[in-house]
Formats: sequence, structure tokens, C-alpha cells
Amino acid sequence: MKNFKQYYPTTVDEAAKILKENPNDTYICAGGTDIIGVMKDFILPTYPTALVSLDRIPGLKEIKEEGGFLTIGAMVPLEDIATNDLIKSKYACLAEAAARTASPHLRESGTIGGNLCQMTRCWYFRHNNDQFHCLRKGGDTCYALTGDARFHSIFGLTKMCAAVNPSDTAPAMVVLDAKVVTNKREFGIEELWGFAVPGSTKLEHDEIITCFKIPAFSGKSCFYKAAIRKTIDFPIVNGACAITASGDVKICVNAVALSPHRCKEAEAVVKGQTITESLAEKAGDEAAKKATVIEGTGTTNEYKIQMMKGIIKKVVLGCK
Amino acid sequence: MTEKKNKKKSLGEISRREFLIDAGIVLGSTAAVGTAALASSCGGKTETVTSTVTKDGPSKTVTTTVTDVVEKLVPLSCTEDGQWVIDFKVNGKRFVEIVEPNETLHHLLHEKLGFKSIKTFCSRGGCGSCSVLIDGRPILSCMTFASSVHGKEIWTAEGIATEMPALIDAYVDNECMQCGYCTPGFIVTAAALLKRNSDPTTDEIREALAGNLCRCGTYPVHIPAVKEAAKALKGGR
Amino acid sequence: MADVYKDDFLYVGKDYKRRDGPEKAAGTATYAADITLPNSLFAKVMTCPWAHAKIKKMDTSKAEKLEGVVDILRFDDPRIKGKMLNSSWNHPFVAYLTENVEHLKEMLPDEGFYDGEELGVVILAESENICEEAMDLVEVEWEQLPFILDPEDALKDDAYVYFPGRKTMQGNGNEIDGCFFNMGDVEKAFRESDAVWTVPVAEPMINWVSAEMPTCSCTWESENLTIYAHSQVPYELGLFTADNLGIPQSKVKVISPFSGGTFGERSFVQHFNDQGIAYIAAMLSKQHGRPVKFYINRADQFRTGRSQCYMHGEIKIGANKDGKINAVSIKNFTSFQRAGLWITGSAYAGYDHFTDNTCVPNVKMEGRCAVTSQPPGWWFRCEQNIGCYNLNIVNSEVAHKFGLDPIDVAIKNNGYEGEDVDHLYKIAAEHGLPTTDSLKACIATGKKAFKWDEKLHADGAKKLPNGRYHGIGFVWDHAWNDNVNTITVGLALNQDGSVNIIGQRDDLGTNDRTSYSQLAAECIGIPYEMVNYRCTDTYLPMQLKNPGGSMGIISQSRGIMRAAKKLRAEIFAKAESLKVLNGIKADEMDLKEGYVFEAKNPSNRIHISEVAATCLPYAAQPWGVSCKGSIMVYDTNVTKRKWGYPDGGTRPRFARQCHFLEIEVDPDTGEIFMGDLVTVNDVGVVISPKSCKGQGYGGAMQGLGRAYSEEYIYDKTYGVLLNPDLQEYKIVTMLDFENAESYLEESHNCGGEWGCGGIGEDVATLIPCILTDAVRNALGVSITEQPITPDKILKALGKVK
Repeated sequence: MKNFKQYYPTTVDEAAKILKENPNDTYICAGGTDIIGVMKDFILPTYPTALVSLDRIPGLKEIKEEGGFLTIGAMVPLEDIATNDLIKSKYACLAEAAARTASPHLRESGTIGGNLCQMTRCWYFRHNNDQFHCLRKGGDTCYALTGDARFHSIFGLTKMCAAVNPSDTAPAMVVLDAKVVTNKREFGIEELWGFAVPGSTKLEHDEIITCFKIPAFSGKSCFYKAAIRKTIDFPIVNGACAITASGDVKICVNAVALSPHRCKEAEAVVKGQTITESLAEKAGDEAAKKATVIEGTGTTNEYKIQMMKGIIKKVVLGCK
Repeated sequence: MTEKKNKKKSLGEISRREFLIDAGIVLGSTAAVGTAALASSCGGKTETVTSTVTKDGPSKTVTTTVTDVVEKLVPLSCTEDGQWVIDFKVNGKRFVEIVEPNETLHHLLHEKLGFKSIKTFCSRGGCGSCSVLIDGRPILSCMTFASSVHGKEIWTAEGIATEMPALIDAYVDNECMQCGYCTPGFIVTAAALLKRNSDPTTDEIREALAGNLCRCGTYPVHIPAVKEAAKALKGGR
Repeated sequence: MADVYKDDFLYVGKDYKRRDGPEKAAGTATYAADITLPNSLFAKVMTCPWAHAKIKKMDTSKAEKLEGVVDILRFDDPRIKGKMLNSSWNHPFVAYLTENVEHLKEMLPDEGFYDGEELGVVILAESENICEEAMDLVEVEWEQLPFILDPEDALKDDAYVYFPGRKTMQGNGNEIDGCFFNMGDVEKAFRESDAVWTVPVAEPMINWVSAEMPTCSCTWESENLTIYAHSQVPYELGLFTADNLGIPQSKVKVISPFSGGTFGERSFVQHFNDQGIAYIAAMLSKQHGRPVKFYINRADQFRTGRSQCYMHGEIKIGANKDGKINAVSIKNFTSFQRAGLWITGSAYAGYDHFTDNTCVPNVKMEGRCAVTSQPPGWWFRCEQNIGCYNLNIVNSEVAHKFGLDPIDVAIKNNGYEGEDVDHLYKIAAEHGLPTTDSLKACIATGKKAFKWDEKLHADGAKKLPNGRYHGIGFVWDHAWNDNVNTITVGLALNQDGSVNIIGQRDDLGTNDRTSYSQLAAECIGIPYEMVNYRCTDTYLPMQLKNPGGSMGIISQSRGIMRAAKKLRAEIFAKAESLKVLNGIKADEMDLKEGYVFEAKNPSNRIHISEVAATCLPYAAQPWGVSCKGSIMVYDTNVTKRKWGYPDGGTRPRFARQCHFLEIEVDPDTGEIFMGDLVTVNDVGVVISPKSCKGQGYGGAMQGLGRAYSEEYIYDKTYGVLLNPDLQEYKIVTMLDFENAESYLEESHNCGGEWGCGGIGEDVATLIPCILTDAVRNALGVSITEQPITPDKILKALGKVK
């Protein structure tokens, strides 16, 4: 790792001020489990010059239920979400998603904010020394399209980048209708992501997530993740479904597109219906209708479409 | 932050207050790298503290001169060169060190302070072999900046072996080590589990150790070993 | 279950507390990677970023200016230019592998033939971070050259030729080796078979993933060099390094403390990662007067070498409805790259598990090996992966084709040299060896433990309430029961009667400190506690061998027994000269449990310490009372051939192994969930039961990874490895198995002392095919190309085109 300037602000404002004064190659460091790897492997075109750690800012590590919301601080470790009794009982899909993220150790350091804002795992993007200077890094090629795209996008090549969002907690947060609270504003979580270089969020440079607010939930929810291994792995596809007590249905899958993918067609199939295996399968089929395949020159990602269908089936049935 | 309760104080989770009023510490004569500013408060008991010169390069242990004694936690401070002065404990012993921003906790503990139980297997957060307990949590030291452990209580496998001999015994009896390179990482993780859960089930053990890779494939025997250790620890060992 | 053997052994067959256990658990055991000598410098080498590229221009000026950079060794520096790997090598260690030794690789070339090849420049700096930063500052203009990834492509007439004009090459010039074999008449047998069909086969490139990465530290004391290395063959490493430096081997001492996994990787001494880093570190250390630590990071460890070549091909099978296999014709393509020498062992034969273990009378093999832009390969726990795989693919195919139990197919075809099992055990009887049908014994134990008969069902017939399909799988093969290592071992008697085993051996994790002490105690006749074994350096040139690693017990047991006989003779002679035991002669004495006694009258005895205490004149000698013997271990005279492929011979193996696996397959996602796993190994004689079982389930964990999750993934457009890290290259975890149990059989029919044999290599090597068999039972479809990832399952189920 090259050296860099490191900041340990003690307030969000102080952190924002540092970011504002350092507009170039300065990154926020939450748990560090993503950025340290990025820096060790010299992945980015220009090396980070400064990191602003949120570790010493009080108040970002709380989980509380108040005012009709479950509030989760941005710096809450994933393990605390996975093992929190309140979340396990009422927001099951989020607890399960957190529990299935990465490995136990990474969940102790890795935070919910970091998990939702992490950079993509695309192996061209992540290749050491910026060897594949891809679209996402300001280049003009997505190497996955001519290479091995077995873990890449099946939904629309947004700006022709085939990378996917690898977050396990994202689909759970989407189906639970979470709000993102930053030092500047509050917005629905689906607005968080977009094509950005090199990260994956639409946050402004000096914008810091302080917490997530999830409306009190009393329905059923379910999360499922498929990966090569059962732990220490990113999803091939994951997904979550939540059905509120009043019958609203939300289904979201991830690792299938640049951002978490809301399956409104599948939701329409399920809404108001009695959940059966065939209904759940139909929901998956609907969701897959707009999916596309990258053939590439290696293993194609076509199987991910079936996998997504299977996962939608499972998470819908899980809300029965 | 949801603090996990623990009954036994020695491992990892001495309270902040206890930490602050713990035996005073001595600042090493590390003036060569500009730490004179640290000697902010004096008086009280003395304790030997190890310091090392932290510029990149051969790590040289500086002979500590018992000059200034502080009872309070040295405040996290940054030198003119952008290094951090951190005050932390490893296996119950207090250290004040000056670290570079790009220094990992692994480097600090393994290379400078000589805790050789912390192994480099993947060095990217994917194997668990560099695990240490930080305030009771099993954390990957290769993915942790050294500067971030200021004020924290760290335990390594060496320290756990002293504090929890029953765990080591159970691991040896079940031959949980083959090449043994990953074993200290398992020990740290198993200790974290046993501190939170004195009677873990098979599934709980498997889940807790799921972040530790073992290329020799010793996985199956960790389960009886942790159960035996749990039993022995409950029996007061 | 013949689990723990022995009434008549006093120490062998018992579980003792593992001697290296406490320090390994507490983390105080030191490995080469843990050693950073005081005042050490650090060295790092550049690697080729493309599949095949040459340095057109390299500018190191920015790196030179970086603070903390001490030296920059460029490929065109006179200190290294023209220096070859293996420069004057003539050691039999390589010679027995191949006669095809040709030296042609520069230690630090300017051209790389695969992604990851070490070349260009070595940076020497004050820290690892500075090395990396300096490497980032080196500017290179690359000339990218043509490359080929698939060995079949490399054999085509119009293929790019990597090394035109080399005399070892055949065909179009890329073909480096082949394995051609024919026994019987396969074509005729196909015509006479009930069914004839062909299956595609493929095995991915995999990596050892030793936990500790390649590293060494070099330091000089005047003319003497000490190397701390993560090496499985420290003696050979010292030999190479002395040779490369042009100094006597006696001035080089290699210390291999504990080793963080080796699995064959660290015996790859022809490779830059062993020999190259040691030579350059030693040279730079001498020049700068400071220790030098050379390290290879995980990504480069993946990119610079692999443990199994990429293999693909097909097998044509002819068999009858009753499960009798009449003929197999194997066609394999394997990839190859040079590691400094052209060692063509990577073509590892794929037929001989039929000739050595079955009664299949007609066997044909066409194995072709070609140069590609994939890194050089070396043994992974064992080199027999392809042979095991081919045997068990055929066993599985035949069972499922005719709706038979794969176990019945195994029993039906078990044999030797195309003849049935009676022929095999007739040979055993001729040599006075036991005639137990080892396969049947292993199967009986395994079936019971696994509850095979209760779990058996027709292919694709069992869907579980959770929506998954249930399947069980079976594999079998011979036990790894022979070995051809030369070892030299000393037994030194101390004055208190305790004994040191002298013989350097790298720690492979197989608990040799305990088990060799057990062996020696048994052989000498003194209590286990009185024997110790802890040699880690090469200054005493006595070597317990490592290549052949866990089969080493065969060589070591014979060597230790031979040395023990000499030691006992010394002790009895001394006792006779002391006129103790009423003045009986040496040949009337025996030694047991630490007492020298009159064989006919055991109560007439003295403790060994009373004899040893008088041995001061001997103890003053370098060896004390010592014995040494250099022996070729495989001397049971039942072999018809020497090691080496292909020469058409076979070797009878009397011991067998078999394994059982239960799985569930999710038809919606293609995920596999492991269930019960039972391994059964006939190891001849069990030395240390727990350690032995550890090799069983441990090997199974590794083998499952090969079958299920591990593979090198290359970008085919650029020839660059996409997953050189432990996140994307996926070895199995604590959650990737459910329940694993190991069982041991003791037929006394392996090549070691008392008929003991190895277990460490074979389970990992044999297990991969078990997943193919289990998946076929679960789904009724055949997936013979590994690893069996969800994409292949979903494709086989017809859910993906």
C-alpha cells in the first residue's frame, strides 16, 4: 500500500468539511474492508490520496426503534444487524442478508453503510494495477463483454458497463423500503445507486450517510443468496421479498445489474394472490422476461437468469 | 453500538473506564520521530511500555526510558508527518506506538511487536488467519488500519493461549492443526465465540468459524474441539 | 472397523498428544513467512501482466528515486543477465523424473510466456510497501505477442509456435510430451460390448493454495549462507542455491521451520519461486551486507504456478450390462509450460489406474501435452489426479448406464493387469504377503458407516420435501502404497538413553514429530517419551524425504527400522563389553520398553540408560552412537518397473481405498449442498490414528474443492488470469461440508515396514470424481467436466441452453 493522508474526524460536519477541501481521490472509510483491498491491489487509476474514517464519530453505530422507524446507523457492523433480536424478529430478510454477507470476520468490521456503498467486484475492474482500464475507470471498453462474464449483468448494460452491484443487504433494504439519511438530505434507498466512477452510488463527494430509516414493518419477508461457496463469497444472485400486513409486495434481486434490481413485474404477479409454488414460479418467469445474456468468450451468464427465477420463487414462497 | 456482554474480564473487553485508570504508562523516548508532544501528563505508577520506530524500514525497538508517566489514555494525535500516535493494549499489556496511515494492524502486531500468531494467508480479508480480538470481536488485522485501534484492547492467539488453556488443550487433543498455519486464527475466532456463547451448538460453531480457511481441511474436528473447550471452560478451567 | 490396530505393538497405533500441537495452536510456531531478520531488506519481482509479452522498453528511473529503494536489479543488469535457472544442474532428483532435461530459462528474462511469469526487474527496498510503490513506478512498454490457452489449439498445424526449433518438441513444435499406451484390442472389444459410448472429460487448472506464501530470507555470516525458506525440499534448495552461487553446498544451510502447507508446491525447486528467490536474495544480501527477505504475494503465487494442468478430452467406453468393462480408450489433452526445465511430468498418464487396479483387458491411451500460456505445473498432493478421475468417470458411467450400483461395478472390475483380483492376490501370496481383498474390506466398512444401502436409489428418483434432489456417490482406487525415495536417517543415543531422530524433513503437517517418534520407539524398543524428532535445518545432510510427502511413511519406516537395528546392535555390543546381565553375549539380548534384557530370561535386565551412560566416547563423536543407512526403499521386489511415465509397465497394489458422499442439489438455483461424507483407507498399518484420519477428511475437503468450486478462470481474449485471490478462487470452507468421517483399514499390505502405507496424498486426489457420481445419482444427468458449478447443473437440467 502507498501512503496517504488519514483523517479521524469526530463529527459528521468535520468529515464533510475534509471531503469538501479534498476534492480529488479522497475516500470515505467505514469498516475499511473494501477500500483496503482496493488500495493493496492498486486497482484505481489514480491512487487514493486521503481517507476520511468515520470510525470515531459518535452516534453512527446505533440501532434503535423510534417514531415509527427502525433506525440503523451507517457504521453499525453487519454482525450486529445479523444478531439483533429486534431485526431478526421483525425485519427477517435484513437480518438474514446481513448474516449471509461475506464472512463472520468481515461482518464484524464491515458496516451496513459500507456494504451498501461498496465498489463492484467485477474482476476486470478489480484486476491489479488498473490493468483493465475499463469504462468504469474512465476508459472506453467493458472487458467483460468480450471476456468471461459469468458473474456479470443480466439486466441492461447501463452505459455499457456489465458490472453488478454485489451487496447482499441491498435487496433487503429495498424491499423494506429503507430511507437513506445523509448530512444533506433524506431519500428512498433505490435512489442511492447509479453509474458512478469508480463507486456505485449517486452520493455527492462530501455527502455522508449517517443512518438508514426503515418504516416499522409487520409483514413477512425473506432473503435468499446463491453463491459458489456457502460463506466468504459474493452472491451470484441474491434476492429479497417483503409482503406487508396490508398486502403490499416488494421484490428485489441483486448481483444482476449495475444497481439492485426491483422486480415490479414479479410484484404484480404476487400482489393480492394466495402464494403457491406455481404463483412463485410465475413471478420469477415474469421477472426474467427482460433479462439479457452476455455470451462473451468464457462461461456465459445465462444461468444467472434461471438462478434469479429460482431465487424469486424461493423468496416469494418464504413470505407465505 | 451494541456492546456484547462478557463475564470474564481478561479477554478483550475491559471497560473503557477500567482501561483509563489502568496502571499508568510510560512513553518511550521516541523523540526521533517527533513524539515529544505526547508527554502531556505525568505522575502516578510506572509501567514498561514498548515502542518501536515506525518509519518504513527495519523496525528498531527503542529502549524505553522511564521518564513520563501518564494515567490517562494518550489522546489520538497526528505527527507532522501524518503518522498517528496510538495507545492500545495487546494481551493485557499497554503499548504506545507511532504508525503510518498505510500500516495495517497486521504489520504493526506481527512485524513490529512480534506477535507471530497472526498469519498472512490471503492478505485480502478472505481467510481469517490474521484474526485478532479487538474489544471482543474477531477482526481481520490485514484489513484493519493500525491507526484505528487507538484506545482498544487486542488479544492475539498467544494471549488467548495463556487465558484459555482449555481451548488450546481441546484443539491439540482433537488435532485441529495439520500444517498449523491457520490454527491461531481459528483459536482467536473460537475464543470470540466462546466468550459470547458458553454452550455453542454444532451449527453455531460452524457459522462462527465460517470465515476461517484451512487448506489442510481440518474443519470437521474443530466442532468437537470447541464443544470440549466450552465444557472445560464451564467447568471452571 | 479395524480402527485402532494392535496388541503386539507398544507404541505404533496409539494416539499420543500431538507434539507440535500446542505451539501451532497458540501461534508460537514460527514459519518462514514469520521470520524477518533484524535489519532486513525486502525484495519483490515484477511479473508479466499479459499472456505473452516482451519488454520493449523499461524505465526504472522514477523507482530509483523513491526514498527507501536500495537496489534495482534489471533484467539487463550484468549481475543477472544471462543467468539461467538450474544452471549446472545434474542431480538425480530431477533425473529420475525425466530424461528430457534441457536448460533454457533465464532467471530474470525480458519475455514472459504466461500471465504472471517473473521477469523484468527485482526491487530491493526497506519495506514491502516501498517495494510495491516502486514497482508501480516502473514504466514498461510491452510488446504483446500471440498466445494460446487450450492445449488442443496449440497442437493444430497452423498454431503459433512458442519455441521454434527446440529439439524436444514434436508435431508442430508445441508438443512437448505424450503418453501413448495400448493393451489388448480396444476396437475388437468395443464391437463385442453391449454398449459403447463416449463421454467428454475436463479438469480445471487448480492451485495448491498453501496457506503460507512462497518466501525466503537470506543472511550471510562471512562465507556461510543461511536461508530461511518455506520449502518442502530444503536440501535440494540448498543444493540449487549453492550451485547457482558457485559456492560449496557445505556453506549453505537451509532452515525450513514449520511450513504453512506445502502439498507439493514447495518442492517445485526448479521454479523461480523457490530457486530464483533464494538465489537473488542471497546475492543481494551478500552485496548489501544485510539480510534480504524475498516474498511472493498471493496474486503472484496464483499466477506463477499451478498444481494441476488444464486437461480436457474424452473417454470411449465399451461395457456389458452386468457392469463388466471391456475396453476404455482415453484421449486427453494437457497444457504445459516450462518452469526453468522442461519437465514433462504434467502429461501425467491417465490410463494406469486401469492397468494397475482393474481387470479391464483392453486399454488405450492417447495423451498429448502442448505448450500453452498457462503457468508451469507441479504436483498437488499427488500428480495422479487425471488417472483417478478417468478410472472413476468410467466406473460411474458404466453403473449409471445400466442402472447398477457403482460399488458392484467396482468389485466386478477390480483386478490387475487386465486380470481379476485373484491374479492380484496370487502375486501377493507369491511374495508372502497377506491376501485380504482390500477393496471388499473397505467397502464393507464404508457401506455400513455411510448407510449406503439405505440411501441408494435410482438416478433422479429422490426429491426431498425441501425441493432438492438427493444423490449419493462412490469412488475407489488403490491405496498409495509404494514409494521410491532414498532416505538417510540417523538415530543418536543420548547418555540418558533417550534417542534423537536425525534427518531433516520439512513439516508437512502430517504429525511426523509424533509418528516418527512412535516408529522409532517401536523399532528400537524404548518408550515413546524417550524419542524425539525436531530437525529443521540442512546442516546435517541426513534427509527424511518429502517428495512423496505423506507416502513418506513407507520410506521413513524402513529407514528408521534399518537404523534401529544398527543402534540396537551397538547397544547390545556395549552391554556385552560392560559385562552386565551376568555377562551374556550381545546376541542373547533383547531391548524392549527401555530395558536391555536376556531374551530367554526377561527378569535379567538393566535400563538402557545404564548402558548409554557409558557411551561418552561415542557421544563425543559427531553422531554419538549412530547408525545411518542410505536405502532405496521400494525393495519388496514385486514391482516390474521403475518410476516414470510412460514406459508401459504396471505395478501391483494390494491395498485399496473407497469413499462415499451424499449431496442435495437445488434444481432452481443449481446449488449443491453436501451431506454425509465417509472416507475409508486401507493404510496397511496405522501409526497415529487421529493423524491418519486427519489426512482422510482433510484430503476430502481439498478434493471437494476441486470438484465443486476451484478453478483458474482466464480471460480468453487477453489470456489473463481473472481470479488470482482467495475471494474469487474458492477453496472450501467450514460451511461447504456437512458431516465427514474417516475410517481406516489395516491389511498389512503396503510397501512400508510391517506393511504400512500412505494416506496423505490419495484422498484429495481421488475425491473429485465422487461429486460427478453423486450428481448423476441425484439428477440422472452426467456432468463430467469439473468443477460442477451451478451453471453446469442448470445446463444439465435443461434450464439453460
